[in-house]
Amino acid sequence: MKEKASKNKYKKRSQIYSVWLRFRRNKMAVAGLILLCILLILAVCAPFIADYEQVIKQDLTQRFIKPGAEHWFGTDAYGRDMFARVVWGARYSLSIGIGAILISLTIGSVIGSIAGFYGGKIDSVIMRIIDVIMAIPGTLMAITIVAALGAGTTKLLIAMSISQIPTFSRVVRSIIMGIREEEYVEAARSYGSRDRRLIMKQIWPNSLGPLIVQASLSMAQAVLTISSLSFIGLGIPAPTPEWGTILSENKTNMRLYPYLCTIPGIAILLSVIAMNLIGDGLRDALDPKLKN
Amino acid sequence: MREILIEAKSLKKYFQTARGNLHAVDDVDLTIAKGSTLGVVGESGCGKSTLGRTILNLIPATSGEVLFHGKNILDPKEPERQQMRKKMQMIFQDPYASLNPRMSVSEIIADPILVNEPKIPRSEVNERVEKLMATVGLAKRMINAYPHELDGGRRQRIGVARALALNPEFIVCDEPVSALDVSIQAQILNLLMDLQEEHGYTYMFITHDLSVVKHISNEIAVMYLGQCVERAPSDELFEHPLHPYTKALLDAIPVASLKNRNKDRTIIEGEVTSPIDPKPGCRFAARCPYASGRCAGEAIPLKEVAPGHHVACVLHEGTEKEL
Repeated sequence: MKEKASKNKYKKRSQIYSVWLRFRRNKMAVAGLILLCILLILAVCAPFIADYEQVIKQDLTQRFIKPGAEHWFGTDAYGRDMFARVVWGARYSLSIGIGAILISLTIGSVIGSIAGFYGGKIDSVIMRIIDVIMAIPGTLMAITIVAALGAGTTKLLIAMSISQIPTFSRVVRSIIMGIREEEYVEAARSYGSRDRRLIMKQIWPNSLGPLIVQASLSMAQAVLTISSLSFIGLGIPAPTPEWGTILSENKTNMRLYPYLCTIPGIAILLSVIAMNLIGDGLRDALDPKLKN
Repeated sequence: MREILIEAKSLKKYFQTARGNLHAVDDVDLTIAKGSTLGVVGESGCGKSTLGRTILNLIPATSGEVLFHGKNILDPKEPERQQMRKKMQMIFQDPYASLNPRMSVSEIIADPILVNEPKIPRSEVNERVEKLMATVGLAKRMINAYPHELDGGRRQRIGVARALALNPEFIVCDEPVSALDVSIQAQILNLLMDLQEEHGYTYMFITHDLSVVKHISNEIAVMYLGQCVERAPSDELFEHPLHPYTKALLDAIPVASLKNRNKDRTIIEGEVTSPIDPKPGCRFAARCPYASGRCAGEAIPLKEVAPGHHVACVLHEGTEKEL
């Protein structure tokens, strides 16, 4: 009994919990988190909110109904319910955005870690290749890849991931080059830690903070890029309800029925703001040296 | 004479720079007897830390040998090298930088055990961590604290516990107290000395603080620009310093006494000569008040002038003892 009590007494407060404590105090970041959660819940629950049939089925008798009790966000030129389309649009925009960031984060971290940790020739070769990719602007890169592969959800995901990899490799490389020289890494080496363990146990946990911040900010950027690509017809083709696609479909009717473009626009705006606020909040919350 | 635990033979470490070879450690010989402490003193940039790291093979030596129990641990062909290496650990200077901020106290102390003995059960690791914490005087309630929650002295105790985790025989202490407050310095020094008494550890104690080194060392080596210029038992060195550089160093120790406030001190003129491709001869000659033509031209070896007292200075060659 006594043994058990003493163990609980010094219970470890996990680092995630203390990060949460610090994050919680930033009101704007919490607002961003709540906003993003609402959007994510809508995206996940989209099939329960509206049938996909309803999203793409055209009904010309129901054209251009203003937002009201029956159609919360009104209907578009083909008589489709805008609320259903925007909710389903969240599913596409957010999932591709998050997916692209996760993929490029993983690949970019591995590339950046190798370059940053080993340095020298390995670093030079990897970084020159990255430089070449970086020379092409991200959006242009994505356009080129989509143009080569053709439009479509998976292809857009691939294009977005590839165009973000250089950014992440660079960020990870510079973080790791800094941490590599830290005395605690030398200490771990002095008692015999091998490279893999050094990277996993000593370096990565310390590079996570800036990386998560970068990821949440890039995610906002990615959502924007996906919508832009769809808007110019290189992303997800109509009638799939991606936010950019919805904007593009309705741009001709924008003058007479401004709600058609305002609502998906606000959806993009809110998700980007939410991600940026979360990113800023995390930046402060992830520094372990700040007091609780 | 006690058994010699560790011996460095003409150890050299040159760093290649754009302007030539930087002689950080140049032809250093030293021996440390089991259970004793060798203090290494010298000013910033004289190669003390590099010497410590080269002996531990943390940075590869340019040439020379380091014998631990008579086996050369710098030789990659030495079969027992890995085993030997575990018996040699290091305590770092800055307890703020040398502890991973993302690991708790228990994780930091357990890591060396987990790295080197991955197969032992978790419960045994925990037991050893608790024992180590008790050994270095860390309260059990800090087991899950993070380094930034603790003060400098406690952090350095973690550093000591980590170095002890693998039951080493030889520990290089690289200025372990210079980042701490004076009151805490004494605590850590006493801890190190108590541990030595109890477990028979052998220390190489690197410092620029002469009052610290006198307190803890059996023998002292004075370094200047990568070379060992004088080596003698601690008391002997403080009573009869022979090398002009050692004399100047000892003269610079502040004394808390009103009588001495107007005392003339020997102040070394000039600046440290460049460690990049130094000319043969005494490297202190440019600043030495006793320098003569004999100081330049050829290397001046360490010579034993009294039992256990070695000095590298032309003034003390052969029978000359006028100073």
